[in-house]
Formats: sequence, structure tokens, C-alpha cells
Amino acid sequence: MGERVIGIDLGTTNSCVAIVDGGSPRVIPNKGGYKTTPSVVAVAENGRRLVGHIAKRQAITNAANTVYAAKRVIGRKWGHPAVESAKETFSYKLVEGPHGDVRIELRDRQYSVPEISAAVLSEMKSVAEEALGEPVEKAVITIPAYFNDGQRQATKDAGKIAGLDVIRMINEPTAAALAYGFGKNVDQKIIVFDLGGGTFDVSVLEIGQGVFEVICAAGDTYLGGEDFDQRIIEWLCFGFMKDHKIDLRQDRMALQRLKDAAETAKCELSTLESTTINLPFIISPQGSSEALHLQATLTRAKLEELTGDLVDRCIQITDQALRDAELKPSDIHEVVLVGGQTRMPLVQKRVEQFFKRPPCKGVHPDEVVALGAAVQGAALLTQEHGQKSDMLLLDVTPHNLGIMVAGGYAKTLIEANSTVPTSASHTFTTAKDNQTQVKIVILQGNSPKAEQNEVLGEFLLTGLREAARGVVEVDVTFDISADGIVSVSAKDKDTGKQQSIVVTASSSLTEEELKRIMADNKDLAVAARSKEEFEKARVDAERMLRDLDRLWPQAEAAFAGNALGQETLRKAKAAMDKAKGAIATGQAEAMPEVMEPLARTLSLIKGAVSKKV
Amino acid sequence: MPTAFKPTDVPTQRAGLDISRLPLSAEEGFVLSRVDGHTTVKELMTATGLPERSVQDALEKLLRLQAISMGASAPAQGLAAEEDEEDLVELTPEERTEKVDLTQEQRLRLKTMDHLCAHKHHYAVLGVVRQASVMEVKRAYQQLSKEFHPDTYFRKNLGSFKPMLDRIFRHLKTAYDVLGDPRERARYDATVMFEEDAAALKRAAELRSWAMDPKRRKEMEERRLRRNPMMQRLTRAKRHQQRAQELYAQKQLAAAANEIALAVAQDPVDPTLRELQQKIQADIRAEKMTRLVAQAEAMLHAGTVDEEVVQSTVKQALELESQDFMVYVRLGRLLLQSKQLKAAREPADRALRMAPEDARTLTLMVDVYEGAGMTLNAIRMLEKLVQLHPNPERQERLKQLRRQL
Repeated sequence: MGERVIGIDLGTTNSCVAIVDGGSPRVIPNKGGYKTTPSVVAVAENGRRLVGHIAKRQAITNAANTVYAAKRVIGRKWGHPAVESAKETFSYKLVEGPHGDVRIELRDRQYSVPEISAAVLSEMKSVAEEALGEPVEKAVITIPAYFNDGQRQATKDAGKIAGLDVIRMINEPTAAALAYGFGKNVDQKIIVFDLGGGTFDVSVLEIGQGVFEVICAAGDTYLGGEDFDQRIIEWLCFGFMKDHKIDLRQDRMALQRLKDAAETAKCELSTLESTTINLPFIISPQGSSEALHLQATLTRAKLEELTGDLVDRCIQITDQALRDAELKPSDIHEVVLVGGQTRMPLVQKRVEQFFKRPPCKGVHPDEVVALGAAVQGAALLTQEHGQKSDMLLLDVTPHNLGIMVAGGYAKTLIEANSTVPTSASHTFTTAKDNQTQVKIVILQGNSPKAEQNEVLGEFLLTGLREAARGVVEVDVTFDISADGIVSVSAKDKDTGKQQSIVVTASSSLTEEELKRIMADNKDLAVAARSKEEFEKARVDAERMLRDLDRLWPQAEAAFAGNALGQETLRKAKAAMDKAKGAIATGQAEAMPEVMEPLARTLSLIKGAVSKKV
Repeated sequence: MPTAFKPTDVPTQRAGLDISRLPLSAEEGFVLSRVDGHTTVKELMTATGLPERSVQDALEKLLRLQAISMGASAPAQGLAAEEDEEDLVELTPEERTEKVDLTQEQRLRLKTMDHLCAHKHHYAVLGVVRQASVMEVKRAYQQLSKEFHPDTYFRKNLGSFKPMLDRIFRHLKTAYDVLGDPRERARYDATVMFEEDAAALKRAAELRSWAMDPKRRKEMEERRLRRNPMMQRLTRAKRHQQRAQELYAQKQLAAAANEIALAVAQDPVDPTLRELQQKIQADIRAEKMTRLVAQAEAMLHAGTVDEEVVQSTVKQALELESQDFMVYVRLGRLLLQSKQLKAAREPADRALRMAPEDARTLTLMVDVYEGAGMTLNAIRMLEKLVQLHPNPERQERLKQLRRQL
């Protein structure tokens, strides 16, 4: 087999490369013998580009030109909260790019974020090539499950810049599961708890007969080991401020030293009960020639106090993910911990408490993701070569996908956690009389409000026949391929005219731009096809209203002489009136909003009445 | 110029259509009677045996009258196709020769699976029995996923098979989502009609309308006949039998015999048909015999006809059979009159066996014995006659015979 495919775990802090060799995956160490390489890129004074350990080692003396954690801003738009917080905490300078994207300024040159990530990827590529003694082109790259389309595309771009043929991108927790389940003939449900440098991902998978099916994925893109570091940095800065009235965060070099020290301390506390942070000559106060020193003792207990809420949040997300999949912690056969931050004793303890079983010990948290990527790469390659692979990965789409409809709402067509490939269609209609064109704005995200979702792209369908609103019908079809590539098409049912778009790159639209688009295109909005849905909702609503009317006298009796009860009745009445109003005026858009409170009211009243009886 | 329907188009009768009110010619009505929502235009031509032009014209008129609707050949989704032959998927020449990275076997496998997905219920798609456990459903899904997930053909050129593959996997997933979840599965089981249920319901509905509405009943019958050629023969046999019975009751024996012969030809096994046929045939023979006897009597009485002709008529009559003893008595008399004493013995014996105490039989017998010179026998017979039907004349004759002896 002349062709090889490597698996690359492009991490926030460290990256790792692996390959399937002789039927089993192994990590390829770099020249220094390390199995992971820091995801750090720097430009030295002489203009040379440095990557990995060498870049990390010079970071302190060259903080402003050393990029770490680029993954946190890759594929992000300028003005995004993640970028805002990065601007404050990163020791290098972020600037706005020409398309509203993020650029990194190093020694008077601006680099796009994919360019920086590409530097790390080509380093991993050359690590592999040196070890294998042959050129490598194909790669599977991992990304956090919660990456949106823009972030995925940007990562893929980085691969392209690095000269790699990225045959597939897979989610990190999924990759971990592949590595865990590789070669095991198991039939079980597992959960991957991935707390890495920058992101937290949790995925539940079902493994059987070589099929790895993701049941659900959840996570938080702003939660990772660096947040733990940040808490230590803040604690140190706060203490320093109290003593010296100087904010160390203002000084980029001091910040970089603090960051290193915090990370080291955190790692030490995974095995020790207490550690000392010693940073001599950390800063020279203005008007004084004598530099100040920072010295502090951090105990494990203190660290756990500082970061306890972050761990709580991880557990919360895990709990929610299980609920969404209608699973109990006891349904899980194995817990796989991934990511350096899961070495923290508190994390392991809380996970064990939650699942009532110790996490799996068989996988190496830093290497498992790259190994899984290599496994998937090898499986795809055997398929390409016409052989039969005994392994199949069924992944899911992590976000809701839909389009913007009149009123600024998002209508979901493909729900989060749908197995890819998948597709969905829905019929929409015009929002205005004699509207001859509609704009299809493709949204990704879980908010019912359009503006709170990411815009993946937009296009115009023109030439609709002039008619009263709600008459012309437009079919919108979403399709996600096994690669996770989203394509959307809209078809005029009358003329058969069709417009489609393959979402290939992040549209780089900011929230303001989106608002502007929405304002500009009011006349172009599509409306959820009202009649059909309205009728469906109306029948349900009227049934509930009848039930409520019937129960009303009993409810009044039940709540009589009870201030809280009176309040409940008042609220119930309001909900009913609102629903009646919506039915009377035929407001299709309002129906979803009135249905939920109505259902809640009904169950409340039913409960109260039955208790009384 | 009428619209030309494609040979693969499938016309469907409009629901709730009152066919009898339509201004149709017999030919158009015939075409309409063969429209069942499955038969294609091409098959209609074969089924009706009408020329293409007539079928096309008839369909066009029916369409204009809104008696039928015309659909593309894709059979309705959801319910399983009725005939098993429909499940024999074959590759089109284009599909066979398309330049794609697939073996012929893979092509056929994909097409068959796609067909299953489009036409069969979820159990059939996953290849599990209705009672399959969640675990079995899951295993089936996993196994099929490995074969039909697009990754299995990673970076292969699939051409027109690509959308097929995508459809199949999506359908597998849906089927698994439904059958793997007890709640969804219960809902699915409740809403989907399975072949066996569908057949049972249809039978029940048929029976109900059979009992209620004669017109509907006929329709049903016809529809069923169309499906089952054996049934068709049996029903035809029944119809002929019924007609034969009616005609027989009206004593139209020739027509009845014809009908029952047709019935027996359709259903040679049914013993009741045979019995009826024998009964009718016997009656016919008897009737003919009576007629011949009457003819001979008349000829003899007129005395103008040649003796030989009378003889041959009597002879014909003798070859037949009857349940009526009087026919034999009359025959005996005829033979006696033409002095054929020996020949007269046989019909006389028959009559005696059939009606041993009748005066006319006994009188004939006496005459025959007497004519043949068997006086002793004649006396014994006459004694019986006198004993049963005494009258002075016979007593006188008995005395005479005794005296002769």
C-alpha cells in the first residue's frame, strides 16, 4: 500500500499525529521524542517561523509574536465573544480582517488564523514524513464536536494550506471512541468526556459489530483547560494587585509568564497536594528601577475551590446530554476520559460520582484522539481501495440547521444530533403580497431567534409569480453529506425554478451585518407555510381550550381563598385569552408561542383539580 | 389529437365514482373496468385485447370525464406492492453499462434495496420479523449500515447510484429510529397496514359490501375474478348452474341441458353439477321417449303410415329410458298391436317393475302372456288384477281363461 493516511489531533495547546501500522494505530513521536507537539507558532526576530516545542520555549521572550491557542479563534468572526475575550487575554495582537474575520499580527505582518493552524499541521505532516520516510498527503483531522460550519471550514482550509488532502474531519470525542473501541468486539454504550485545552465535548456512542454510532453530542466551545489556567492567573493577579496595586494583565510578558506558571502549577497539582509558584522579577513598576517578584503557594484544595464551578458545568452538560438521549448514567457501560484536563483529580472524582463507576483506564488522554483519526483514515482508505472495512462511523450533526423566516425567527429543518448523511425538506411561502423573490438565509444554531444563530450563507430565489401572500409555495431542501458538507436548495413549486448553494466557507457575517440584512430584506422574507401548520396547531389549541373550559369551575374551587392560586388562575386566563386571540386572528406565527404556555397551564390545572378530587 | 399516454402510465379510478352514470360506450366501459390503479396503459392493451388507438381514446375520454386520474408508473408509497413479481428488480441497460466503480452485483443490490425502501414497511427493509427484539433490530441496522453507508463507497465514482445510496442509508436510519424505539414502533405498528392485515381488512370490507350492495357485489366479484382465474371458472360454473336450474324448473330441458353442460365444462369436479346434469339428461331422454311413443301411436292410429316407419319409431323409443311406467305400458301396447309379442314382453316387464299394482300394467301383462300362449301365467296375472281391481269384466275373462286351460 503506497498511500498512507495520517490522523492529526489539532489541539488547542498540543497536537498529535498517528498512523495505522500493521493493523493497529500508533502515535508518531516528533524529533525530540515527544508524542505531542505544542500547537504554538511564533515568528522570531529574524523573521523565521517557529513551530512546536521550539516556539513554546521562546514564548516568554517573544510573547507578542508567539501564537498559542489559535484554535480558540479559528473560523470565528470579529466581534464574537470568544474573540473579544481572546483579545483581552492573549499576549499576541488580534486585528480585524477584511471580511470581518480575525487576523493575527506578528511582526507587522497579518496572518489569517488558518495560516497559523496550517503551520502546526505542516509540522505534524513533516513529523510523520520523517518517521515514515515517505511523503504523506492524506489526513484525517479532528475538531471539537461543537465546532460550527465556519470553524470546520477554516480548519479544512488550514489543512489545504499545509498541503494536506483532508479526506475527512471527525469530531474529537468520536475519534476517541474509535480508538477505544478499535479491535474490541464490544456491544455497548460509551460516553466520551473530552475536556481539552479549549473546549469541552461530550458524546454518547453506541458500538456494535464494528459500527460506531454517535447517539448524541453536546459541549461548550468556551470551556477547557485554559479556563482553569485563567482562574489561577486571575487568582495570582488578584493577590499581586492587593499587595502591589499593579495589574499584571496589562503587561504582555508578565501575562505569558503567568500563563506558563499557572499551567505548570495546575499539572503539578494533579499529583501533589501543594505547589509553589515562583516568578521573580515579574514586573518593574513605573518610576521604580526595582522589579517586583511574585511568589505564591497554591494547594489542590484552593485550585478545586477556584475551578469547582467549571467542573460543575462539565457535569451539567453531561447530564443534559444524557437526558436529551433519554439515557440514565447507569445505561453507560464505559466512560472514556480524553484531554489533558481530565487528569485533574477533581474531574475524575466528579465523573466517577456521576456515573457511579471509575472511568476507563485503557486510553491515553493526549493520544487517543489522534489514534482514532488514524483508525478512521485507514478505514476510509481501505474502502477507497475497494477492500472491505469492518468499521463504520456514524456521526451526527451537532447543531440545528434551518432558515430564517418572517419575523426574525429561525425555522429548523435538520435537528441537532441527526445522523449524517441526512436531508430534510419543508415548504415555505411568501410573506408579502406580490412578492416575487425570497431570500433564503441559512442558519446554524439552537436559538429560535434568527439573529442568535450563525449564518452559513444566503441566496435569492427570484421570478416568483405575483400572488397574495401565502399562496406561492417554495420548497427548501437541506442536505448534509457524510462529509458534513451542507447544501441547500430552494425550488419554486409553480415554475420548478431552482436555486441552490453548497455551504463552502464561512460567510463571516457579524451580528450587525445580519441585522442589517434582515432589515434590508424584509420584503424578501419567506414565511413558514402558515395554513397547514396553523390548522394543526389550531386543532390542538382548541382541544386544550375546551378541556380548560371544562375544568375551569373545578379549578376555581380548588384555588379558592389562595393568593397563589388566584395568581395561577389569572395567568391561566391570560394564556387562554392569548391562544383564543391567536386563533381568532389566524396568526400562524404566534401559534407556537401560545401552544407551550397553554399546554403548561392545562397540565397545571389538571394536576390541581385531580389533587383536590 | 388525443393526448398520448405513455405505456408505463398507470390510470387509477377516482374514488366514489358511480360508473353507471357515465356516458360511456361499451368499449370505454370495458377499458374502465380494467383500470385498477396497478395496470399500466400497456398492460391495459393486453388485458382488453383492444388496439392501442382504442385504449388511448377511451382513456382520454375517461380522463376528460374525470373518471380516472393518470399517474406515473411509480406505485404508491407505503403499502407493499401486491405482486411478488414487482419485487424482482432489474437493472436498466443504462444502469448496467454506466461507467461507475461498482460491480454488477453491487448495482443490483443497491437497486433492490432502494426498491425495498420505497415500497416495503420498515420491518421488511431491515429484514426482521414483526416480533423482532430491539436488539435484533439494532443488529440488522448495524449490519446493513456497514453495507449501505456512503463511506462504504468512499471516493468511488457512483454516478446515478449515488442518490440511491444516500436514500437507502437515510431510510435505514429512519427504519431503525422507529423500530428501535418502543414508543415510535407502537405508533408505527398502529398506523401502518401490513400485507397480511391489509389483505384481511380488504376481505372483510369485501364481505360487508357483498352483503349490502348488489352493484358493489358484482364489482367485487369481477375484481376478484380478474385476480384469480380458477375463481373465475368456478363462478361461471355457478352462474350456468343457476340458469340451468331455472330453465329446468320451467321445463325448458334443452336449454337447461345446454347451461349445465357449460357449467360442468367450467367445473368438472363439483358432484352437484354432475347430478343435475344427469337428471336433466334423463328427463330429456324420457321426454323424447314419450314423444316417440305418442308419435308411433298416432301413426298407428291413422293407419296411413308404413308399418316399417312405426316399427323404427318404436325401436328408437325402446332405446331410451323413462321414469314414467305409462310410457312402457303404451310401448307394450304398440308392440302388441303390431303383433310383436316377444318384443312387447320387455317394456311390459319394465312397467310391471315400476308399477306392479297398476291395473293398466297388469292388463298389459295379461295380454302379453295371453298373446304368447302362456295361459298359466296370464291366469296368475289376471287373478292378481281381479284381486286388486275387481270388476265383472275381468272376472268373466278369468273364468274364460281357466276354462281354456
